[in-house]
Amino acid sequence: MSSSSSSKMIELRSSDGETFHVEETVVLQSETIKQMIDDDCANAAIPLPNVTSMTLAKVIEYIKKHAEKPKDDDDKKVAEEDLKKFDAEFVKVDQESMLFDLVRAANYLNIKSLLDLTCQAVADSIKDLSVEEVRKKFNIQNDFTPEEEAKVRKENAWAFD
Amino acid sequence: MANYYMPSDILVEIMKRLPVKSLMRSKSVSKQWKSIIDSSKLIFNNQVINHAKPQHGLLVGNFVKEDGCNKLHGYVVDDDDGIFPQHKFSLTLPVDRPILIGLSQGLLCFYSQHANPNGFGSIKTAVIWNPAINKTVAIDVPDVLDALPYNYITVFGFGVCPHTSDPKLVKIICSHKMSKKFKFFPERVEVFRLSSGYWRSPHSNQPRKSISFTHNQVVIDDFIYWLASDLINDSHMIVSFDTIIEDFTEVYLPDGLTRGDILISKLRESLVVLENSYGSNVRVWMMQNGDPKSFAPIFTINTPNVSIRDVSISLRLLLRNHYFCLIKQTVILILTPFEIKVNGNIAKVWTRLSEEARHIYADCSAITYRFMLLLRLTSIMFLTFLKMMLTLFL
Repeated sequence: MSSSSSSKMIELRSSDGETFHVEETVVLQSETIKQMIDDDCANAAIPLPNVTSMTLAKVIEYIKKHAEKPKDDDDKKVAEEDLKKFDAEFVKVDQESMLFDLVRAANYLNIKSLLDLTCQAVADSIKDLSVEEVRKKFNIQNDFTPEEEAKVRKENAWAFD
Repeated sequence: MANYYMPSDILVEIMKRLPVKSLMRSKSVSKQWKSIIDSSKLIFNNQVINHAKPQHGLLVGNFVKEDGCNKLHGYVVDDDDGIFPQHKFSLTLPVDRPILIGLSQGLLCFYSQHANPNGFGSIKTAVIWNPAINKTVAIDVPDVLDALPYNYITVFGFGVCPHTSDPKLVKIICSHKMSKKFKFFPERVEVFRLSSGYWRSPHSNQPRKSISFTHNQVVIDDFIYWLASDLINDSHMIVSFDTIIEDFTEVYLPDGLTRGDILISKLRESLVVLENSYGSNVRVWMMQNGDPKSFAPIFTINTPNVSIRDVSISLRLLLRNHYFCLIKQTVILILTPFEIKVNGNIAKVWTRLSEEARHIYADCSAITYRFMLLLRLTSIMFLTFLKMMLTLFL
């Protein structure tokens, strides 16, 4: 691949109309966008109606970091460590809703590593919560009758110790 | 406004990453959550594969007939962070007298055949079971040939593809070991993928017809390995199946292992061959880095304090029927037809756990047969155990 084609820029448009210019090689981490480019639908700005500009900026930060290529083997080890640190920091978001937005964006854009990372972060954040706290976090209405809920809890009583 | 809505396919991804205990608790969040957790999508719990802490649970149980149902009563002993402190369970299996095919990534696969109540022949079923979340998926198995007079047998393999987390069952119809002629079978190999839900022939090569597979199998990384016989020169060999590309490979054993009494097993995530040809000694050979040329004896288990016959029997049982298990570095559980007497701390733990096992045995009067197995016999533990054996007996 020539250097000119590797630096080709792709324009992405968020749901709130903001545009972002990203190198094609970087953006190909998204299977969804890759498919659009393969289908030749990427001549104009690619609309991403499900992703807000705030979320998209975060996603681009992530894929840019993950597109960096280490120069040699020594560099590779350093880069791997660096990437681990980056990932750990990346999911430490101020607002909880941002993490949820990132999960949905990773799913929609089909970026597997980001989906793994964010789903794990959500799982880690709820694993020690009580059922009530999980409901609150996901804004879920308890639709069990008290009898039904008691039954489900009884069946899995050991998990409530 | 913050959006907390999560489509169910994303919820599945999140739930797969929850520890088992949290997952089971999450059933009471809502009806939607319960139905997702109960659905077959979650037969597999990623926690087991993806994350640093694999669950070293030990399952102790007995198959019993109770009110006409086949049940497995048992308990899970311990695991790294105490998720299942003696979690008792009772599971109704949809099959009668199941035989363990194999275990991979915390899932177990059984096979069973029983008379068809509505007609001729028998119904053949494989069952994939995730004991951690107490869930089973039954799979119909077509075209099983097991007629000894016709010189062929059917052998299964079970492994979870580590990349896609897709459980796969392999069915191989092969020549019986005693067969002198290599029969022609039109559909010799079929693979079942849980994600697709049907059996089909693999696109790749098939093992040659002059190989007879045994039921002794082990799963390491992407591969299922079977101990097999090369019928042309009547020697032991190993056949591997790549669960990703669905391809068979023949693995040749070094000269010293082509004859005699051997079994395959797993140690430190490597394939090992246990050679039982030195009387009281069992020699352990390891294949390094998946390279068959690197098979080398790594140590010998020597047990002079115990009668030679007993030890060789116990090791056979250990590896073939999982009668014998261990957890972590110090906890050892044996359920064997005899007692091995040892000194020191290990003996204590040994005794304690053995009593519990006997208790279960005594508890179930309608036992059809005893059953014990290890969920994930991690190799490091195994090695530690072998080292302890050496220290104790030498």
